[in-house]
Amino acid sequence: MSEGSAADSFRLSLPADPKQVGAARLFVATTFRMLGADEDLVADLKLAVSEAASAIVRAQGLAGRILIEISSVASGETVTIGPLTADDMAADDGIAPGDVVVAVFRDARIDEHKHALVIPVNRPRDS
Amino acid sequence: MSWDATGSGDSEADLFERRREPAALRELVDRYTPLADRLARRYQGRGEPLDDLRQVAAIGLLKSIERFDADRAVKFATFATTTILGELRRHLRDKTWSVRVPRSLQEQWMNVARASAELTQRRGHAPTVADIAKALDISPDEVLEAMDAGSAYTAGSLDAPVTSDEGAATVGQLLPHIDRNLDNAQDRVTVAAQLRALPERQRVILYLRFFEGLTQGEIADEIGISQMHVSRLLRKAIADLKHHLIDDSPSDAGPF
Repeated sequence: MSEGSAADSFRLSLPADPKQVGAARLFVATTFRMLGADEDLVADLKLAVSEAASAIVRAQGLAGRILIEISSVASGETVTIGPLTADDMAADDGIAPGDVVVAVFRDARIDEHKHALVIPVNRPRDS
Repeated sequence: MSWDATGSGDSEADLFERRREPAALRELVDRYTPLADRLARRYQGRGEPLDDLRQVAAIGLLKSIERFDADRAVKFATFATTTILGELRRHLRDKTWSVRVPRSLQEQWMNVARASAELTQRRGHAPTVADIAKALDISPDEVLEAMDAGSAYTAGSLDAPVTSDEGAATVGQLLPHIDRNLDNAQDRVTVAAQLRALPERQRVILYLRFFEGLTQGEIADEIGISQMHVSRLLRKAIADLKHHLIDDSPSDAGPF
């Protein structure tokens, strides 16, 4: 996931443990607040990260890791979270995590090469 | 989107086709209530009881079932998530959650901050979440929740001047005095539980008037009847609703 990372990126690696989903959420929320994001965006990110991290936990089990990277790009930021496949995002208890994620981030997609969910977060830059 | 390939199944399309029938509506509601609950739980810890959040999410679910266009390419779960989140946010905004952190969470945040400072001083490096949890005898999740609240709810003072100029207005002076929407959300939740007892047309009119905020004229245009007729049906619906609220039996007080 770290391949080709921008210089100003934030990364976190956690055990794929249900107890760590909250930490994943907090990492993304705190980083985006630090970057000046409003609370609506932070709430959307927390929702998407919860869905993705929970999918990783289900797919990987305790031996796996949750890897999150937040990188700055021209239009805002990109959140990359994995390892995840399209199947992981479709697996569910009736409701696919992927369907929930695209409700808040329409352009979110699985990057087969990175083996991760990529969430483009477009927002006006503070300058 | 590769996980989006399957789309809604035939049986679901059929349910949406028949969504005005109580059995089909109930089936859709049952099927997607776990989604509504899941989204409601994401907004816990902001001073609103989970039960209230679930009720608000349930209203959002009902709205999305009503509005969903099964012919469009979007899946219902995605459409419903957007609608339910919108409803939850409106509710939380009505309750001014951004400046009203529950006292218990404020205290927890202060405890966490204090423990973190003490441990840092004692050990010469920042403590982990587990260290703080152990020091305070709370769970790591509670530490995380307090930290999240601490970073989210840093409210500015109402007495702070908006500019550095002498005599500048304060934030408080620029705010409207009364937020008339403040207590409406709870009322909406209570009333929503009774709406299903009304005839469909009255329900639609009430919904458009009080949930969507349309004027009587706009409602008339929307459903193709005269404004006089809308006015009459609205009066009738309110009278019926009052009747149901007064006579309501607790066993029938579910969200739908």
